[in-house]
Amino acid sequence: MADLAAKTKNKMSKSAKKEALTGYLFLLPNFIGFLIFIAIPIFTGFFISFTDYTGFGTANFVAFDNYAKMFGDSQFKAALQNNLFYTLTSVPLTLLVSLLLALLLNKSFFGSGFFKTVYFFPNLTSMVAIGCVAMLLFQPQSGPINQLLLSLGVPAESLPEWFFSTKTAMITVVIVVVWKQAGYYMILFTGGLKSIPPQLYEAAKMDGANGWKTFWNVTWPMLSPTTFMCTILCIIGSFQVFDIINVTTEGGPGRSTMVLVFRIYREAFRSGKMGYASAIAYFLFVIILIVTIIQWQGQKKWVNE
Amino acid sequence: MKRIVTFLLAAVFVFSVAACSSNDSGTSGSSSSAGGSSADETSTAGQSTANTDDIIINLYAHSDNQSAAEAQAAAYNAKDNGITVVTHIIANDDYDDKLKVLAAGSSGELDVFWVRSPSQVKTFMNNGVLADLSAFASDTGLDLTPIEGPLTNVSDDSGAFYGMPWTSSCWMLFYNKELFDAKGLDYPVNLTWEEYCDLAQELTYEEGGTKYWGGIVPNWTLNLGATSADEYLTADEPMERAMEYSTYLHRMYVEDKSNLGIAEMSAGTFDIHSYFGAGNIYMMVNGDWEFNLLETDFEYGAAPMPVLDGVEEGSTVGQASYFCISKDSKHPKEAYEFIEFMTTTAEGTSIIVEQTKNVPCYSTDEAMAVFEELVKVEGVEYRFSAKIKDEQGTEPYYESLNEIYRQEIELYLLEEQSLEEAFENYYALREETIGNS
Repeated sequence: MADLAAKTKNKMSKSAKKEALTGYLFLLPNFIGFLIFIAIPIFTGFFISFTDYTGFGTANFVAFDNYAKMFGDSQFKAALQNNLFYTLTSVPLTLLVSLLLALLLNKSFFGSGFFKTVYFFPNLTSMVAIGCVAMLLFQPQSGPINQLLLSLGVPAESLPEWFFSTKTAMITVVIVVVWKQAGYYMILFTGGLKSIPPQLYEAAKMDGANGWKTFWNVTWPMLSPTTFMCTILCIIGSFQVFDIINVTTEGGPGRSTMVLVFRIYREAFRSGKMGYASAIAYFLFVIILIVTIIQWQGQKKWVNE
Repeated sequence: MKRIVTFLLAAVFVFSVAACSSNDSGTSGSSSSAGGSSADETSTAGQSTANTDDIIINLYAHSDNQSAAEAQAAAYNAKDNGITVVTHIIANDDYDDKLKVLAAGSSGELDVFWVRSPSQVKTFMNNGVLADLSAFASDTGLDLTPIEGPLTNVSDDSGAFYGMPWTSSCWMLFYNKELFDAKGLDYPVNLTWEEYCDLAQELTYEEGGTKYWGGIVPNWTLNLGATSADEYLTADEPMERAMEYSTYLHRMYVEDKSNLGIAEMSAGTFDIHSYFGAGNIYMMVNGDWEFNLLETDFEYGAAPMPVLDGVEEGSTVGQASYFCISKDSKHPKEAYEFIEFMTTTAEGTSIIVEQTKNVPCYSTDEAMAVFEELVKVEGVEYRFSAKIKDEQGTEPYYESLNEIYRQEIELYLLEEQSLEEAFENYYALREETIGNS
């Protein structure tokens, strides 16, 4: 009897091993790709960050020179400051707009499906195309947005310069990016809202809760896992912003929209300082890692599982 | 059975990934996607059917030079001398970055490639990417006298040079003859920048619902006037010429508004040729590539670029472009033979003019005859009497200086800081940049 049980267990174990092997074989191509195109470059970049590699020839070890140079580089400091500002504005705005849209479109009404599609459309469009169009829309003199503001009675001298003033350039970038990505997070929030048990709303209604109280005591806590995920994704994405900057302002006017990834690109491909660019990239990685860890630790306090 | 199928599927995936990787390296990393060519790059073989014994020379050029590069390759391939040139065209906007990746790849697939400026050739030289061409030139007995100047920019201390100059550029002033004739004004020849600004202001007005602009000076070379006066971004403080030129830009862009503003010129869709070609702009400062690119319904003329006070008339800026050979090329001698054909022979230089209307650095009578036949613009002779200064410095950090200079002057032209502040900031950042380089 014991032998039979052992044989059965072995058979099951063999069968489980076969299943596992099948699974690994299916994962193997993707894993090889991950290894070649992501993992190896990441590790190589780490070592390059300690060298003076220019992309050509051999790399000479320079220890922590690149990291030390970073903190004396005013271009880097400006990029870091701008990126923090961008994160602190674009993330809350994106989450707010997308949550509002999700709440509005969560109710079934005629055309809600159409509007969900319309708000998601910008997410499907290339940021390069959006950037080119944004440059035309936000033209200070002849752009349609300022023309509209003029027609609404805003004095010409008070019209914003949008991309062409250090005071408004980054905000303009934030507006464009929020418009593009709000649809994506709206879909995520919609999924989160659909997963909230309706009995909770019924119970709240029976208890006499109004709209705000229902939102604050039922919707918001139950949505916290989705909010947590969206916040992490949004923050990580905000530190990786590049394409909209490259197409519209190229870091200007002055250095007002210079961000970290754009700085990395300039140092690596325009100035030929691969080692220094790698150091900045790893610094960015550390920032994102720290922020993500803080969020993961913080989730225990405010995320309902 | 299931396991066999699984193994087969996994093997197919793995081998297809491996095949794509080797295919990418075989084309020198020319595409980030699997396969030999991307949408940004096209490859064409020569017109003659390549003999399998032929030596293959890979030629890389950018999209603006596509017709010239392909025509020269076709002409060379027609000689059927055992060498077949295969052209690879990369989109102009991506060319400089992709070329660096290709050159760093050291795969041996990169033979001959176009380089935009002497400073870029210097960068490649300093990184040991380029083959020394002086020995090859010595073997063929080529007379280098006509190109001594451009060769100096790409030579090292031992006298070895690393690029063959292909075309040279020259900034000029273009004007709408019909508008000037309608106003009964003399054509704007040999102006100073002061005179240019005065004239542009006078010629900016609105009439019959159409806005007429006095001139257009593009905002991507904010040190143009000072460079033509031999003051580069590395000049000692105070950079008086640069400050003087900046005040003229401020006058045009901000005070007189006789030029399109920075906002309009920075729009992604801004195309200076289309703006000037619309016929409501009196003058345009741009390079002699406009002889090829400008398509207008009106007759236009060319004149020397305006100069700062005290600077010799006809002074302007320009630069040579080069064809270089990778030091990892498997056939450098054959690659050089092709380059020499492209850049110095009557046939090669004539093709340059036919396809680009640019002036070859190695001037041949045949090429000049073609140029005279094709470019019948009043004032074109100023192109050949121009005193051309190099457009950029050749220091390795010059590109960084360009960037910080642009940042500060843009703020001045957007009225966010004064001229003095702009230059004080520039000096401080320059010191930091040079110290960090």
